[in-house]
Amino acid sequence: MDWGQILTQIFSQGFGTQAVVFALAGIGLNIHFGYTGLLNFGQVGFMAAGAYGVGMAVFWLEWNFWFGILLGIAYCLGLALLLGVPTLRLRADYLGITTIAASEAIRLFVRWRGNRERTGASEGINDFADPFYANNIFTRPGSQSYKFLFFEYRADDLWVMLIGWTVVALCVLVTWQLMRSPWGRVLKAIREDEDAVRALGKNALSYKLQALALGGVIGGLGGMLQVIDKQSVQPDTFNPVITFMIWTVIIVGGVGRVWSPVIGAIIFWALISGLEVFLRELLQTGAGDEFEQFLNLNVSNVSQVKFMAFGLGLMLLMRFRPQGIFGSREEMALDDR
Amino acid sequence: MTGNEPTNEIVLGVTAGGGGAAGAEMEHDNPVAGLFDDIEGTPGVAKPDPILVAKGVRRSFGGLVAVDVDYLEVQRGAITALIGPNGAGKTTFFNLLTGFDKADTGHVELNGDSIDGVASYKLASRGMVRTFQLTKALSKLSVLENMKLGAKDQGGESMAKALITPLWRRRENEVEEQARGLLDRFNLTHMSDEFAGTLSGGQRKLVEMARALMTDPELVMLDEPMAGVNPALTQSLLGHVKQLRAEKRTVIFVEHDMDVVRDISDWVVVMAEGRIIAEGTPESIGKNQAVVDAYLGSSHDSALDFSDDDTPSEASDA
Ligand SMILES: Nc1ncnc2c1ncn2[C@@H]1O[C@H](COP(=O)(O)OP(=O)(O)OP(=O)(O)O)[C@@H](O)[C@H]1O
Ligand SMILES: [Mg+2]
Repeated sequence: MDWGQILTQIFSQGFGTQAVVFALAGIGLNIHFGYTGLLNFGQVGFMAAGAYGVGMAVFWLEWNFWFGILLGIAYCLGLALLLGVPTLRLRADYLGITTIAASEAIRLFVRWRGNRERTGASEGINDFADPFYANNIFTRPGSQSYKFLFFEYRADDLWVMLIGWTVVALCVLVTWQLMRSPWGRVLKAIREDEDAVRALGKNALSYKLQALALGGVIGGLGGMLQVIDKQSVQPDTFNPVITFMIWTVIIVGGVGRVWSPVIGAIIFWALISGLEVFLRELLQTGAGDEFEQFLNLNVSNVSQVKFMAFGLGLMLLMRFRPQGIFGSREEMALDDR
Repeated sequence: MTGNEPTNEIVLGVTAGGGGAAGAEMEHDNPVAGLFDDIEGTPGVAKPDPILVAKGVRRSFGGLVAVDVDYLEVQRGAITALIGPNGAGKTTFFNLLTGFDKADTGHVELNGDSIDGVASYKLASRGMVRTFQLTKALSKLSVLENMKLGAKDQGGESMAKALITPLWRRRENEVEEQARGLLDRFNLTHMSDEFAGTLSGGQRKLVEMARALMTDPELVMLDEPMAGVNPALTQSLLGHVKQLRAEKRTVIFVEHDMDVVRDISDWVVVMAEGRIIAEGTPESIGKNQAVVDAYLGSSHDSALDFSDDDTPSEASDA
């Protein structure tokens, strides 16, 4: 068993581009659910909105790549209004149902053949982010790979990560500042009881829309980084499973805590990637024959089994630490009173 | 509490700081004392200076007419009790007055201006605030944060300003001072930093009322503020309600305990099956045949004795 290889996967993926994407989407979802109590089951829809904003700006409108980021943000704001205005007056579950449906509708819409000229339909949009990489400070002649300790990255990955983690840090900072302000107090109060907030003279609907928009835009930034990293916008990367992985991220970290999406995303990707290599190594060495037979483990189902194992871990977490890593049990217990 | 040891009482109240009956027995001015002496106790009777007027307010749920109020004026600066059997429509009427529910027909005026169709959140800035029958403590906010939420004119409640602390720090400090003052008045200072969700039911009632006062309201509408509160705390709450009147605020409250109603209200409005069946001073209302009938069924023919077992039932969580 090559532990070096396993550790390299754990560390490299734990801090890699996917972790950045999930951290951003998680920060957004945490603003929705953790602070405001909005049930958003379509965060991937906001990621898609951001991603297609950049992609379509370059591919369809032939704009400069950097203006595409603005279009992505505008798409997210539009989506927040579209989802929020009709549903946020209603009970919380209506938003939940609408968001999950909307995120699927977006995916099907962009991959529809009629949209070929705008979204690239099922082929998506490729190689649109060259201006992003043109500024890469890590590019150097010769070797394009960097290695230190258990970290191993390509130069392009490092560039995405540098920008990505900077954006994450900024978003964490903004969330922290907002949530200690009177504005954040209103959001938390809405999470606890919207009617009380209205009785005290706050326009709860407007605050919920603001929260939905802010969290949506941050999720959209995650979506942009996702497609910039891949240099490709593909409709099927934005499937509902992603939304639930992001829920996992904030639950692992602990909802309603500033750092939880970041730590949650790191742990999520470290474990998922670590498990994959570990299981592959296990198969190669034949060290765990009985275990392999029990799970019917083979090279073709390793990626399913890794999620099974992760799910088991999640169940154990819920059993023994339901509040997540940063959450407070004392606070959680208040729900039952 | 007899008059023998007045100093003792006050000292006890101030130092204990623990939800005692501080100030409950203090004398509160009644700016409207005697005002109602000459007003006839008939439903819909005009008041000298009404702050709130409801005309033909009707609300039905399916076939059930929950509220059908022909005409009601609420006197400014007085404590008006709204009583009636369970299901009489008191809470629904509150909801209609405060914009939490929409009437099928009818008009409501606050300070002479129509508030028909005005969103509930806009009424706070017009000086109207309410509490709820089912207490709405914001569990995962500290008691102090609960209080601060109530304050008006907070620049930091706009997202853009919230980003820059110096833009809201000063107002935040003012709000905190106001909140601590009120918490002190309600003997809740020792709970300031606790989550509101850890409070007892009675303490939550106190926080909700104190929080409502953070909006500096002209008209305070309390839906069963004493329900489930122990007698000592009830005394203290009564003191606070009287204090509101002394501060020239108007109070409308729903209550089932007739001793409480008789103790603090200047005027009583009785609802049954959605209608206002009687109005009058607390003294006159107990002798009103229509009220007796509504509470006890029409076979009962003696005057309603509120202080014994015939006391109308305790609040339900309707
Ligand atoms: N949302 C609703 N849907 C259907 N019926 C309702 C609704 N709200 C209230 N009602 C009905 O309207 C009537 C009046 O209810 P309301 O809560 O106003 O009574 P109440 O006087 O406050 O009673 P209590 O003293 O028990 O609090 C009841 O018959 C109730 O069942
Ligand atoms: Mg009621």
